[in-house]
Order: sequence, then C-alpha cells, then structure tokens
Amino acid sequence: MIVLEQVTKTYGNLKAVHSLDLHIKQGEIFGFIGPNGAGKTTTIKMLATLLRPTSGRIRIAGIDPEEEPEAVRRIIGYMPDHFGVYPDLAVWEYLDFFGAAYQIPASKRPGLIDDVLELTDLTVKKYDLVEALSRGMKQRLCLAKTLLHDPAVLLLDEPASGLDPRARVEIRELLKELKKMKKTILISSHILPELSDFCTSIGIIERGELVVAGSIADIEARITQSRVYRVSTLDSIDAVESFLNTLGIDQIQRNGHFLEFTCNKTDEDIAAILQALVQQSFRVTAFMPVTANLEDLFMKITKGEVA
Amino acid sequence: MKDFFLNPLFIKQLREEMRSRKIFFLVPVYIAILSSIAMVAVGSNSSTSFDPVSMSNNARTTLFAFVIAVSILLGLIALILGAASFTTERERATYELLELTPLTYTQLVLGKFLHAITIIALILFSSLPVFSTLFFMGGLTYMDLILPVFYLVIFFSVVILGAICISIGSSRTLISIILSLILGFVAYVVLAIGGSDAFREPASMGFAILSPWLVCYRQIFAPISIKLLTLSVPVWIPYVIFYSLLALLLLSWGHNALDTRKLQRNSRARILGLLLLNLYAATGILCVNFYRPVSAKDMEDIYQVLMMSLMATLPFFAIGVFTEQDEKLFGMKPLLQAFNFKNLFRNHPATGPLFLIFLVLTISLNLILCTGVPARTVFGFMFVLLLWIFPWLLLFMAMRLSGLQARGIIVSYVLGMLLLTLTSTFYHSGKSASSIFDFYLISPSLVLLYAVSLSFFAIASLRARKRLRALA
Repeated sequence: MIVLEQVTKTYGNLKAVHSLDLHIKQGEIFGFIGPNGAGKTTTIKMLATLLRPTSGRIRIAGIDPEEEPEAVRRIIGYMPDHFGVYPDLAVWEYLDFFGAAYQIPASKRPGLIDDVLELTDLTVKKYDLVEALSRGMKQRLCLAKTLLHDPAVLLLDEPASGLDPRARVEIRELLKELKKMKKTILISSHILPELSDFCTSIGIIERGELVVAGSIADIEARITQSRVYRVSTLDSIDAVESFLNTLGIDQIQRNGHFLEFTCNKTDEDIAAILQALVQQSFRVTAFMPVTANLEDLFMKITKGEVA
Repeated sequence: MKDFFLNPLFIKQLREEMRSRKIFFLVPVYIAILSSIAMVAVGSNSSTSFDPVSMSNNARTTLFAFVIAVSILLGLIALILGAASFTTERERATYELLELTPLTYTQLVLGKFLHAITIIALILFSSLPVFSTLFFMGGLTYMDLILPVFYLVIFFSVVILGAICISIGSSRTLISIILSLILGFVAYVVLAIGGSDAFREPASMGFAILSPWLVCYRQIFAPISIKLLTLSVPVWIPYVIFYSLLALLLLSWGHNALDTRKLQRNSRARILGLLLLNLYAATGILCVNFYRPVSAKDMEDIYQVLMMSLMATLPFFAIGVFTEQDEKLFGMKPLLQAFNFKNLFRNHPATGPLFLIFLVLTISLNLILCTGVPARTVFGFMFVLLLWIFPWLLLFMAMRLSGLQARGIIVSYVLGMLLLTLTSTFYHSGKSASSIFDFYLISPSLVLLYAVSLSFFAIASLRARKRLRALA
C-alpha cells in the first residue's frame, strides 16, 4: 500500500531522511519510532504530498504523490503532530466544512458527521464550539475530520502527544477500532509503549536512516538472543545470587530488592531453576520472564544521537 | 457557478466572521464617520435663500467626498482582511489541513476573497441610507449613487486580492499587514498623482484610467468619454476591463504562490502580468499622446512615475528571488543565479529581476511606438532607470544573503530612500541641471548607492560562503 524506495530529503546540507526503504502492506499498522528530529515528520509529510523528496520514489496505492498529489490527497487521511482548529466554529460545522472541502454531497454529510462523532465519542459535543473542547477532544476531533472522507491510508503523526493518560487510552481504543476497519495506518511516536499493543510492525528511524523494521517479535528476536527472568524473594538477595551462580548462571543484575538474570536455556531448565530455589527454602515471591518492551528495544537500537 | 458561491472556505469564513465581535464594532464606527461628513455637508447648506443649482452642486461635492472617505476607510479594512487571510491560517496551524483537501489553490484564494468582498459589500450597503440623505438636496440620479458603489466594489476586489497575495508570501500576520499598508499607501499616492491632471483636463486621461476616484468623479460631475485613437470610449469600460484582468492576474499569482510544490510549472500568470502592464502603459501613453503629442520634456514625468512605482515594488522583486534550493548556488555566484532564466521561471511574475528588465524595455518600446519621441531619448531615460535599479537589487540580495528577514529589508529600504533623498537635495539645491535626466545621471547619490551596495554585497557573499562551508 505504501512503498518508499531510496527516499532522500535534504534541507541545504542537512540530510533529514537518507535512502529510506519501506514497504507497508494493506491493513497493516506500522509504528514509526524515533527520537525527536530523526526524520519521522519529514517522512510523513512527504507521504502526505506536503513535501517533495529530493530523490527516490514514493508510491501510495500505486500512485506517485509527486505526479498526482490530488489523487493521493483523496485516499490519505493525515493528522499532523501540531495542528490548529477553528475556535469559532461548532464541532459539527468544523466537520461540515471539511466534508464540503472533500466534496461529500450536502445530503450525505449530516449522517457521516454523526458516524465519525460516534466513532470518536464526541456525539455529546456536536453543537459545542470547538473553542470549548479539551486538548484530548480536539485531538479526537482532528481524527474525526481525518476519517470523514473514508481514507484507505491513515498517516498519524504523534496522535497522542501532549495528552493525559486517560485521553491517551481513549486514542488507543480508537486506533484499535480503526484496526478492525482494515485501514492501513502509519503512526509515529517517540513514546514507545503506546504503540506496542496494536502495531503489526514497527520501524525505528534515527538520524534519517531506518535502523530496523519488521514485526515486534522479529525485532525482539533479532536483538535479544537470550531471555531475561526476574526473581524476588523475602530472603537476602546475596544468598540467592550465590545460589544462582552455583547453577551456572553468571549474567545476574541486582536491581533493588530483586534480581534479573539472563540465560538462553529452555523452559524446562527454567522450571528446574525455580524448583531448585524453592527446595533451598528461599521464600520466592515472584519468578517471571521480563518481556522486552519497545522502550528497551529502542534504547538498544538507537545510540541516542539525533540528526 | 453554484460551486463558485458555495465555496466551503467562503462559508466557513463567513460563519467565523459573523460570530466575532469585530464586525459589530466596525459597522457603527464606519457609519458614524460617514454620517458626520453628511452632517457637515447639510449644515453648510443652510443659506436663507433656496438655490437649487448650488444645492445640487453641494450634493455632488458631498457624494464625491463620500467616495473618497469610503475608498480610504473601506480600503483599509479590505487591506487588513486580505493581509490576514492566509497568515492567520498558518499561525493557527490550520493551513496544512486546508491544503490537503481536494480544494484547488484557486478555490482557496477565491474562498478568502469572497469572504472579504462580502464583508466589504455588507459595510458598503449598510451605508447607503447615509448616502441617500443627499437626494434631499436634488440634482442626483440613482445611477450617480449606484455606479460609484459598483466602481468601488471592483476597486476593493483588486485591493483584497493584492493583500491576499502579500499574505500568501509572508510568514506572519503583522508583517503581512504592514507590507500591505505600505504598498497600499504607495498605490493610492500613485493613483492620486496620476489622476490629478485628468480632473481638470477632460481628455487627459492617460495613466489615470486606473483611478477609481476619477471614474466616480466623471460619473458624478461630467460623464465625458475618453478618446482612444479615433474611438470615443466611456471611462468605465477600460476601467472595468483593466481591473478584471488585474484581478485575474492576482488570482493566478496567488494560485502559483500557494502551490509551492511546482512553482515553475505555471507560466500563465507571468505572461499575463507582462501583457497587462504593457497594455496599461500603452493605453496610457496613447491617451496622453492623442490629447497632446508627448514631447521629450514629458518623458521626465513618465520617468518619475516609473521610478517611483519601481522603487516601491523593488523589495518584493528581490525578496522573491531566492528559493530554498538556490541557497547553495547563491553562495557561489549570486549575481549570475539571480539573473538567469531558470530562477525567473521558478518564481512568480512580479519577482525576478529579469522580469523587471523586460518590463522597462517593453515600456520603452511602447513609448517609441506610441509617441513621436525619438528612440534615443527614450532609451536614454530607461538606461538611467536601469542604472538606478541595479544597486537596489544588489542591496536587497546582500540583505537576503546575510539572512535578513522581510522586516529588516523594508526598514533598511525606507532608511536608504530617506538618506538618498537628503543627499540629492543637499547636492542639487541651488544648482540647475538642464533636465531631470542630467539630475539623475550625474547624481553623487547614485555613486554612493553603488559603492554601498557593492560593499554590502561583497561582505554578504563572503559571509554566506563561509556559512555554507561550515555547513558542508
């Protein structure tokens, strides 16, 4: 659905995006992750026909945004990271304006507006002025506007930035709804965990270059060959540590009142370790594998340098 | 047609505008000013004897005073409405969303334009009751009222479109409004000076065809046609044609300037602009020439008008020359880049020094073809004009190279003009030059200007090169 081939964008001598290759299939939810200034917004703007790549090819549903920006604009829904609203309009008027701009016939607009308001949970605010909405509601309103012309591809640039946890959860729920609607979504963020539970694949970009891309499990497997387990007991952790050493586990990290050890053993071996601990009458309160989250992946992959 | 008036942007703008308090303060203040003019007019007429002739004369004079008051008051409002149009969208970060809708750039400009002209028309029509007090004095027909209003609406349309174009080119509302006010002021002065002769001499229309005051004056006092070749043409016909073409030009210019992705593709605006300016110059010269053949002495007046208007628009020529991609090239050979065809085509019509040179050359051709003035004299004057243009261009390029913003350029421009006027005045006071031609050619201020601009340019190029090296 979205194809980028060797896409480069330079500003003067600054390379904002460098030889980016990306393939996103239809119905996929692609998480685009990178530190601030890594080139996420530039890439999304190029996809949204707002910027022209210096070199390389972009195709969205087979259409080149450089050749036919109008055609691309009809099939994409773009939500910028920083956007404004018209404070003096009512919520329905705001949506009606964009509906008219997207050439939706006047007879169909009211029904459609009700639908997107329902989806974004803003129905009660239909007749309120946009001015009176909270930040999270404005964000949802912008998303409602983005969905109005039923785009096949959604480009969401940091949709949850600057929101409180509750509003963030609401946005996340909304995105899960969209996932069910089989839309191709490219979503960028520098806050990682918010992407982990609904993205089908992710790409990490740093200094304009794609460091790694693929499904979360793939990337996890690629980076961490072995798994991490956490043990906490009511007894002294020194004793636990020395006991684990006798079992041949040497990669142990003390982390406050619990231990984390890394090994590449099978599940049976792990069960045996737990059994041994209990037999040594350690009062184990927790013994569990630590799943690498996106944050860890991110920290491992990027070096914290920013373009 | 239905789509034209149901422009979604237009409807949105109206909804917003009607909710703001601005308009509710604007209309009463405006009506109060007009009413005070009417009261003065009626009050000055309270003679003991009833004299229909003097009363109807008074009515006409007052109507004309209204026209001038309205053109200034509403002109200001029109300028501000236009100048704030796109910059506010950018400042509120709503423009990107607007740009991504399937609305064409022309529709965007039209939406903003329709909104502003509707507000202006609304205020204008709300003042008709004040205007109608004049009918008590007698002597006026309905047409005397309706036609000037029509002419003014046409004039305001172009004012709004011009301000919208400035707004498209500026980054901030404040700068856009200041620029529009400066340019608007210059345009008003040029129109007023250009039209002043024609109030006295009926046939001497010349360059004054564009003046809305003159066209209204003609309608109110003496509807006399102008003579164009052997034809007798009512004044309002060239007026309406010219302003419609100008509106079209500004519209396509706005479209071009908004479409930053493919600036170089649209050549309509550029060609239309050149043709239009030539048409205007040629008509003016023809009109003047048929009233009284243009002599070499008259050339000085034409030269002065050209000089003034070119000087006023020069910063905008220079500001538009540079695009993001050119930065690197300019660091190496700025002059060459600024004056090559590719850069001209990359920018819109009124930007690009080459366009300026084309303009000066074609206007000289018009002068030679339309009048009996010898080619040597015409080219002589135009040469002096070009001589004066180059140092200004250098100066603006230097400022642009050193990274100065539009505001800095305008301020230095105004200061520079003042300085030059002062040095010229001191040098030439008490001396007599045989003609203005000599006055400008031997002027030490020209030498000073060249010296200053060249050194500025050299310093700026060196600094730009250094900066670019550091980047690389």
